[in-house]
Amino acid sequence: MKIINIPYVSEIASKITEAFPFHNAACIDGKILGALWAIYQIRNVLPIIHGPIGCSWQRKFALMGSEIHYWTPCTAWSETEVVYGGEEKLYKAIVEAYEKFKPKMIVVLTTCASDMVGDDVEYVVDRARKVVKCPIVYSTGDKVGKTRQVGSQDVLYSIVEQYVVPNCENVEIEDGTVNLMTIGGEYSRSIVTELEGVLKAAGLRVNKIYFEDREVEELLELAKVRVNVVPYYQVWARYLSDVKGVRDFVLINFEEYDLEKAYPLGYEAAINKIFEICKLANVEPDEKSLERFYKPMLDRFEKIKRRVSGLKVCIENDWGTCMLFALKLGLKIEALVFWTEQYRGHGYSESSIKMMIDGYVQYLRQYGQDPEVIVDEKFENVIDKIKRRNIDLVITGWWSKPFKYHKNGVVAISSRNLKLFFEFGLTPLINAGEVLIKKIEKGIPTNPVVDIEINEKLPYLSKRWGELTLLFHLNRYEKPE
Amino acid sequence: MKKIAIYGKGGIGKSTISTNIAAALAEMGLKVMVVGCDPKTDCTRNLHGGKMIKPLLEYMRELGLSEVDVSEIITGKQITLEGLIENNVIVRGYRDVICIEVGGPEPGIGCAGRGIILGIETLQKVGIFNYFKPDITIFDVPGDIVCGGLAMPLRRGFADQVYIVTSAEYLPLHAANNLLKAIKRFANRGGSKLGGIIYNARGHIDRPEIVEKFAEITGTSVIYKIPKLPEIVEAESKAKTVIEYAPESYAAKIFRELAYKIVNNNRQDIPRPLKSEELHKLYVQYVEQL
Amino acid sequence: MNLIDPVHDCRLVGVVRAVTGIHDCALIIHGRPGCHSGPLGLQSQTSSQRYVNVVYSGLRSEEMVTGGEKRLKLAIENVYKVMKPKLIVVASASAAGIMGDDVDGVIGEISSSVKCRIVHISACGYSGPEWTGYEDALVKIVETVLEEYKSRQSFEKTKNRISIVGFHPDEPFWRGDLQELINILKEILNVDISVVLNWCSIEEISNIVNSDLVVVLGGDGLSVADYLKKNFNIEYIVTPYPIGIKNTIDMIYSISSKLGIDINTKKLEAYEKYVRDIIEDFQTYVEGIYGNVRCVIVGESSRAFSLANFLLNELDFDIEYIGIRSRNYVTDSELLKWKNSEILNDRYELYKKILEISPEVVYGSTFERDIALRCGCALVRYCYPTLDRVYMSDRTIVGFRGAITLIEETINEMLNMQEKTELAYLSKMNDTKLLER
Repeated sequence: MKIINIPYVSEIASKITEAFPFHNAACIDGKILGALWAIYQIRNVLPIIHGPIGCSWQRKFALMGSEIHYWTPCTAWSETEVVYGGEEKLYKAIVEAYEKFKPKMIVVLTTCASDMVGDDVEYVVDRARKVVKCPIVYSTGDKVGKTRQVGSQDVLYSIVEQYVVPNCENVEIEDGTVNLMTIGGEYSRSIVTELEGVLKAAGLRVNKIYFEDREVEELLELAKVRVNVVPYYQVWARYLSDVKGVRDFVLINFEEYDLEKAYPLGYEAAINKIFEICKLANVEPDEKSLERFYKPMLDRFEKIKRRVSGLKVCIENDWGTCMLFALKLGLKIEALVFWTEQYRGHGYSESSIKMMIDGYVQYLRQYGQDPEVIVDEKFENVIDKIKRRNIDLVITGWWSKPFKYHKNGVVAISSRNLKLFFEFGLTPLINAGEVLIKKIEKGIPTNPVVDIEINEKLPYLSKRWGELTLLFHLNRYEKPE
Repeated sequence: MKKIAIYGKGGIGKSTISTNIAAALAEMGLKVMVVGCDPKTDCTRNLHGGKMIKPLLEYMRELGLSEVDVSEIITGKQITLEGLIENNVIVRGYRDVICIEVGGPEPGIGCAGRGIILGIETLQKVGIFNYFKPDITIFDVPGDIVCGGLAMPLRRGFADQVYIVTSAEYLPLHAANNLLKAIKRFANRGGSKLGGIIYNARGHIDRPEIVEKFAEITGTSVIYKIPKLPEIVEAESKAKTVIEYAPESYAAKIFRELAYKIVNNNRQDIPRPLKSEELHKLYVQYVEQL
Repeated sequence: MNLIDPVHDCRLVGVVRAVTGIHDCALIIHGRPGCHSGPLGLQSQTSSQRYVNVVYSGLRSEEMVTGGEKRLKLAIENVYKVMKPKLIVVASASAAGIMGDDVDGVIGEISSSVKCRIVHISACGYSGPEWTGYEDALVKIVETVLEEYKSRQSFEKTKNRISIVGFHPDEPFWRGDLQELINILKEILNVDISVVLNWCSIEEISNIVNSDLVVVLGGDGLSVADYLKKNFNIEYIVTPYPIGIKNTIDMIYSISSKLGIDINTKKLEAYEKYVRDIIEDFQTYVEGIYGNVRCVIVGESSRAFSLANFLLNELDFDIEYIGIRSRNYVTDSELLKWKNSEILNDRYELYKKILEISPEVVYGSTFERDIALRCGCALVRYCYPTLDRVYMSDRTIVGFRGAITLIEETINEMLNMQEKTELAYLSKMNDTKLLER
């Protein structure tokens, strides 16, 4: 039976599952889910989960998406393995997996059970490599420190370390060649729709876009280009840079307060990134071609900008993308609302959160914006302030509730609808701008059917989800005595 | 660069021997590193006199539990060599011996084996061996290998040679025989091989011949015999090695010889551990003979 | 077998399912983040989000070395402060189990400061399958709630008052099923219901002691019924899960016979007429499937066999195979009645079986979606876990109305095969935007 990992996710279906406040709100995925996300993008790769059945069965559904990981075989640990170790079972499982499925690659994922018991998975995999006729890679989650997302980072790093580097020949790398990487799923589509095109226009040759629907052999080409362009810091890309001299270029730098340096959104930011990539690729960018490429998009963008420029907005619980969007469209950012528990969910300290907010405000002031900053206030107070400022539109945070604003007579749209995260260039701004215009024209629904009780401490969540989220943060980040 | 691991029954004198060897080697002009793997964090005490040394796992725990800054949103808190040095995880002891204590859980809770895996992998990852380039590294590992984690130094890429410390009493020999099983398993898969047995006269029976016979039957040899010497205990009570405490003493001479032997010992034995009944039979016979 | 692609979860999800729907109960999973996020996702995507109650103890990777007892103590205190539950269930997962965290000790230590009942259930992934977690957790919860009643000599039992065990408020159609079950029992049997486990509050669980009878649906939760019989002398019966008309009538007659009460035959006739009227309205659709469908059923024992009975005895379907993904204490006797049924261990074996049989309809869950597509057959979702559909209305698959729903679902999914066939063809012709990137 063929392994068919289905790498594609329905954007329409995902609209629904994205509303669940999971990732870094009420929970985090765990390394196995992150690993499966990466594995499932590549054709004919079979994961073997070395641990109890729960680590396998529960991971069949992707928390934040609508996809199912149908194939998650495991070594089904019992008490016997906990006491005596599971090395022999793993070896037999790998051999059995190959005989049954004939995958193009096997990736062994350890679990906390096998990690704690101390199974020497490296040895078992080495032994199995002598017998099994496909590459075998193992991933423990320990190779990438705390780099997020640990599961996917570790798997991709392990694949590069154990398969790509030992197997790629020493070819002469051509200047001007690049690989692109997407987040996968419904995110970072503009890397495919825009970035690929603009790099070609600049004079670069885009070899492949990873990792979606790639064959195992195609992974070797990760080491055959001048630059690997990644959406955010990837340990595997940095490793390739260190050992093979294949440079890595990071599109999104979350730690930057200069939003244009942080996010490659908008024409100027995009062009700057392209120039940097060209420099790394040892190629002079074809500026005329770039101008021609962007002209139609710029025209469209200007039309949108003319329609919305000057609109007064309030931006809630943002990571910078909506602020940048507002700046680019010439909107007036009247207020920024922060319910800081959202940032605490990522492990941010109080001082970091304050620095981040101050950083954003300072950045906006450079562009003549002077928003009122509303931090950790009750929802009713926020509504009051919004109304007093005659704000035209609120762009809410990812999980926040537009209908709450509608119930209070304020036009609001969720940043989920704008799809700006992990995106590149002008296309996302144009799409988001069109969505914004439609929203303004549509106004507030006369009788919104949705109304739920919001959490008092975390007004961007419902009562119960707020409690669960608060508990997740407290239990995870508070220091026990 | 040579890496050795020292195993043996709890209380047999591993840490005493490791630290004295380390001091002797440092005196010879070699660059030495000692990695203590016991959760009690007392392996390197004799080298730094009980100086403030932060166990590696405790440092990792503090770092892991601390909040991240904006700049660390993706990478998280990273463990670096500089961080280890600044936070006294790596300290210099007698004659600049590099001392590290991996640390571990308090008694009765947690998982020490997992701790050793994490600790040793972390040291490898931060590049400690490439940075300090010690001529010799000594891993001092707790008592019995009761789970996979405690055998970490025996895996490929860690210790080149293993030494077992034992006395002539039955229980330490039994423990040593048990350790041979683990060594044999790892040796067969490309891991550490046995450099030999170090006889340490403890307890009531001081009969190195028993241990020599045991070594012969199990396919190895006793590379050195350490007699009972009062200076060793005295030095330890002062949190010092004999090399430092009584450099002219006979005990110091013993350790210098042992250190020399270890540096020049290239044995890579794959042991043949005995079955429990065989060991018991051998022991009883030999003790009767003697 | 060394390699298994599991069809059921470990004890942990069993514990989660036992706690799902208990309104004022909190579940702390003392394990690693993955052990928490999976169950949280499963619970919130299948059951009521008003009562989502799966919380993480916060066990960090560093604490896998030093132990997680202090972390757990903090978590219990936090949960008590924030959620103010009447009962806290602590489920220890693999990491805590291997480390040997003394969870009972922590609970003992904290009981003076946290003024609610706390129970511990070992739910390590390596220690057993899902159904054992469910049974053990449910018994422990009931035992804890009824602790104060144990010393009493007798209880005032209210005549014709029953308690229901074996209802799962995380299955597709659960809202409608609950309502339909209650309606049938009240209208046809005129009984009062003490509690429906586990869609209830902690206080409602204590009402069990006043029950005249415990009805165990499909065999799930039998250990609770056993416990109640031994400790409170409450009789119980095991009835089929009321899928289909025959199973529903069997359930009604079992209860009536045990309690010695009359059945409201007028109401029963009215329900039957309801079914007949609808079938008349859609007669040729129903004729289209009657005696004319080859199917495979995959699911939990308590549901799968009931469904099989309905499909075979009321719709004359050919039941080619019944794959039981999760069992209970009565599964063995059911297996004997169905020659072509077996307990599943491995998804690969299930897939091979389905491909070999090549049925027209698979009755299962979301996890059977790909095999149904690859096999080219329809998938009717009727059991847990169904994650790609929501059932917000009061449609039901229980009872008389439930029979109609199942017929409706079967017909619609079979009709939908035309759409899937067209999609496959358009994909072959490269003329669909569905994979447009």
